[in-house]
Amino acid sequence: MNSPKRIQKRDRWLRLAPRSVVSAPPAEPLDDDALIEAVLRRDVRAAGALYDRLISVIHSTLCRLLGRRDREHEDLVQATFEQIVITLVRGRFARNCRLSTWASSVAAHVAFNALRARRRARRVFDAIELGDVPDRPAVGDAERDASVRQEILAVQGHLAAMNPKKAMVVVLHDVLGHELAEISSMLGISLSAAQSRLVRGRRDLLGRLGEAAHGAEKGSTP
Amino acid sequence: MSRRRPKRPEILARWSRLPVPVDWSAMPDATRTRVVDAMASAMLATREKRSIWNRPSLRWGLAAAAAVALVVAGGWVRRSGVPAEAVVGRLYMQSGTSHAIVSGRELPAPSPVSSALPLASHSRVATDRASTSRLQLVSGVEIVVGPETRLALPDTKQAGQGREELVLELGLVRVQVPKLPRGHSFSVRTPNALVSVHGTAFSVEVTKSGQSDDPRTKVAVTDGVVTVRHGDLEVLLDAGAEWTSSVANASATRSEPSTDPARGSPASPGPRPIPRASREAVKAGSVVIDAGSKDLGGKLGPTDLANQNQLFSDAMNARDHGDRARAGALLEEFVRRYPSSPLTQDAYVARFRVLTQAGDHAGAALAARSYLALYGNGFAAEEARAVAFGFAPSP
Repeated sequence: MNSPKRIQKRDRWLRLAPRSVVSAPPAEPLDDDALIEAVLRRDVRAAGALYDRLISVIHSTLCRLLGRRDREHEDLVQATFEQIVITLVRGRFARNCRLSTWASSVAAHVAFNALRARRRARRVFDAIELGDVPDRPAVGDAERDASVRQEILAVQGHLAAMNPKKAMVVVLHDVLGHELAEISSMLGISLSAAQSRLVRGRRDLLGRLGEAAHGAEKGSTP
Repeated sequence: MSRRRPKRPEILARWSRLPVPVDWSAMPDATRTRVVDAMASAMLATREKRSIWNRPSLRWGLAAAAAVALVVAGGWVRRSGVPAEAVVGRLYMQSGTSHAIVSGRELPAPSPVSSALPLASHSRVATDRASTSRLQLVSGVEIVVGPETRLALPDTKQAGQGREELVLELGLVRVQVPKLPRGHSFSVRTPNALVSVHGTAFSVEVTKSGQSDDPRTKVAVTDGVVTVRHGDLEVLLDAGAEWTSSVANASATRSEPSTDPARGSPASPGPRPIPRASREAVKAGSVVIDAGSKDLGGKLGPTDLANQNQLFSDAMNARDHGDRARAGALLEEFVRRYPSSPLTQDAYVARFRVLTQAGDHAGAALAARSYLALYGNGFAAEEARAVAFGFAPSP
């Protein structure tokens, strides 16, 4: 005799069926070109598709550069998307790299503008609390984590003070991991210009870091 | 001595290795709605090309433009075959289909802004039923070309003298004129009127009735002041007022009693005459319409107004009786036949509502977009965005 099948506790609840299964089949995702064309046609339905396509890369870029999500993060996400739409509508995206790659550079621009605004307001170190730096580092050494976060805060301040073009290339290459060729496409500059900005930017940043370390040593010397 | 390429600072390497939260999918729906709404608004509000005069790198831009001009001077640009120096405007299609006749060749208007069709002087533009196109003149004048419209572009020689004159043969145009340099002017010439502006927004419509071939010109002022001149009589139209060549008295919304010299009898409430002493001031500061020799007090359009009311009423009756298909068809006919009627906005709104109620969501979205294209800040803009974008308007 078969015993009645025991119903798992989690299955005793009524669940909503996904509406899209019945009402409409999932739409075929648009490729980059089709999405851009839709934006150029000012087809506002493309806004949602564009958001879904790019939110992950924009979110991770902003988090990488500025810190974890907060109210300002959502504002920056919105500013990034608006900048992307405006640039696309004006036909100023050259389409020589992937849309998501380019969106990452736009997000980096927005993040940099936010950093510079903070610096202008002399709130770089006050407004960016430790918790704003990307949290949960891989190693659980609390003291070292705190040290890394402090160093990143300092680097953010230096980058915000540098020439924006050089700082942007340094961040895109050394922090976000883009190749030089990719960066040249994203920014619409030549490969040699990208390389030159990277070298000069690194040199500038190292100089600033060195000066800061030297100043700290002098300050700690009795 | 060779300078070594600096290596990546160690702190940047450690920064790049720090994990970032991947919980973007946990962003609240309200955030998504807000951002998508903002994107859509930016999409609709953004002009396709920022004016070069607003750019900080103006000198570089001018230098680049000069270089491009040198390159282009020896040849031709784009597929219209219009030399760069002869381009007086650019056309692109917003909805439906439209075409331009350039140097005798008929070319379709492209939809993407990036490939707008360059047009030479005397090019002609024609739009089909239910289509809308946007025309940008080199002077910065923005023109929305309505459905079933035919027009000719300004003459280059006149443009060189600071005068641009668009010839509207039939249909509707909505014009936005930026502040023009001193001595420059922009005009729309219709079969029986000339509308000259120095910085305002208005629309001009030319229609033909069934019984007569005489075209009728209708001017609606969105911003600024318009003076209509006919013989010795001038009438003043403020923003929001309308003037019609066949029913001048009935069309002005702000009016006071006056004597109609053409009829020799007191006119019904109509546009107010302007003292001669003030005419020059009005002409210098705003808009002058030369009604030419057409009869301002001709026959009329009570029938036209009655027809509009009847058509709109029929549509509403059909809707109220549940015949949404007929209601939608009648409303579509209304916006096509009367694109500048006071009821047009209501007709657009009623149309996307009827289509929504009928379950035609694609049609409703299209109708809502048409509404937003014409009335971006209209009374039902939020509702239209919700229908067009597929999400509820933000509170």
